[in-house]
Amino acid sequence: MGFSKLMGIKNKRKKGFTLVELIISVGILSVAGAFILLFFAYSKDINTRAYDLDNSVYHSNYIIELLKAELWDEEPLIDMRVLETSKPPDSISKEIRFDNKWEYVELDEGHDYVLNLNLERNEDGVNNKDLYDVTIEVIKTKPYFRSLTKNMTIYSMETKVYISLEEGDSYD
Amino acid sequence: MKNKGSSSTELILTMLLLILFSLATISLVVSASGAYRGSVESIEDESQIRVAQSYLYTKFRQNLEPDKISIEKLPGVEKNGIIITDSVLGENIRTIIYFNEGYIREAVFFEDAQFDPNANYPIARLKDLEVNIIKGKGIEFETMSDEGKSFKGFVAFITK
Amino acid sequence: MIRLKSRQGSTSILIILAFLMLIIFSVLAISSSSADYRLAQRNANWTSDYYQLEGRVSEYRYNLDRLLYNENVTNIDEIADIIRERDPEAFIEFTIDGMNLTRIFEAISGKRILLSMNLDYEMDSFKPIIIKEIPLEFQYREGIEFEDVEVDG
Repeated sequence: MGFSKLMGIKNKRKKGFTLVELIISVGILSVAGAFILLFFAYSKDINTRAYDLDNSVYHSNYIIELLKAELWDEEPLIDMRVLETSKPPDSISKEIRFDNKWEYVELDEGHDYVLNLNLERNEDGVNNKDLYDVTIEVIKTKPYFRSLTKNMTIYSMETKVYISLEEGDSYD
Repeated sequence: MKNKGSSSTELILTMLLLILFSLATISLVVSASGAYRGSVESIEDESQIRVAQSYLYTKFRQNLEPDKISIEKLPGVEKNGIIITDSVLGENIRTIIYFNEGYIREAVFFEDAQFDPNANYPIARLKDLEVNIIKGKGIEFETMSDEGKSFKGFVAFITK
Repeated sequence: MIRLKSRQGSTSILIILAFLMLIIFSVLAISSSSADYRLAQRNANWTSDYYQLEGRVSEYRYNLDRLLYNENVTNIDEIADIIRERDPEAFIEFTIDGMNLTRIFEAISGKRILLSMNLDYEMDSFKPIIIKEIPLEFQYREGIEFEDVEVDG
């Protein structure tokens, strides 16, 4: 500073912000911000997985309980009735499809989730009732954000039901 | 020699850029906080439904006996309530589960006590709750979250 | 010497603060989501567990009915004896309405289901009276000791 004053040269260097500083700051923030904002996408993905799992559980519960109560006229079981036959079949399967909001959709419509319901009869029944091994598997047809796997099993459960499939109803 | 005007133009431009940068940074932070808030609200909503469904299923499964569960209209409450009768140490008590003012609530009264809608314990926050008994078959219920999503449930009576 | 009055590097401070806020929000969002997902998984496991246990109950009911129809039993006492022999955990008592059988099924997780069935003296079929979940027993930790409080004066 003394030298400048001696030479009469005005010190033009201002202490403040430079454009370079700003550009570098914006650059760093945008790159780092992109990585950090990716965490929000991960968080949203985990939320979706939790929501899918909850819905799988609710729908599975509902279907098993309707099976136990033998309510064949309720929506998810509506196409699953016994044919007029002297002996019920050894195995019954039903595919129930859902859209991305977990609403029921018809078989020929676009769907995101599939619930496979399978009943298997292993031994002869008693007194018009049979013991069925029930398997429920919920599958997501499209992959999640972090994965490339299609048709991933979200939830599965097994139980047995002791029910009667009365004569006069019909299977599909 | 530089014009004084240009150096002040430079200063103004730089200040403008700085202001823009600050605004951009603030809006980034605000949008991040908004995203977090949205995420938490959605999680909270789902959590309340999970609690409500789990609670109702557990309560019904623990009291699946003939004539133990009934649905009645309750004074001071818009929707019908679920009454579970029980006997504890010789005293008959009623556990009343009902939906009022945005919450599923549980209250326990002696059989001859009058129902008071203010004496309760909130279980979960919901938008709506519908319960119905299908005679001989089971109890059907539907819970609706604050976001308007509804979920059905059913508990079967096994009578044969 | 730190020159606090200098405006140099102020943008860096702004960036650091913004960065910090973004990191905090993103970490909070991920941790909330993960905690919620764990709860959802736990709920799913409890449900599967319950239905597996209930499956055992259904199988037991099926075996009881098969016993009634397939074995050559002529009276209710024979059935009671066979059940006692094959399943010591079943509790049987005779009442005016017939034979009452009570049995508790327990899962590894501690969940329990109570099954109560009735078989009338005509031996038509076992009718379920109660199939319900029994709440988990509350167990105190060993370290808790209750003592009388001593009051001075």
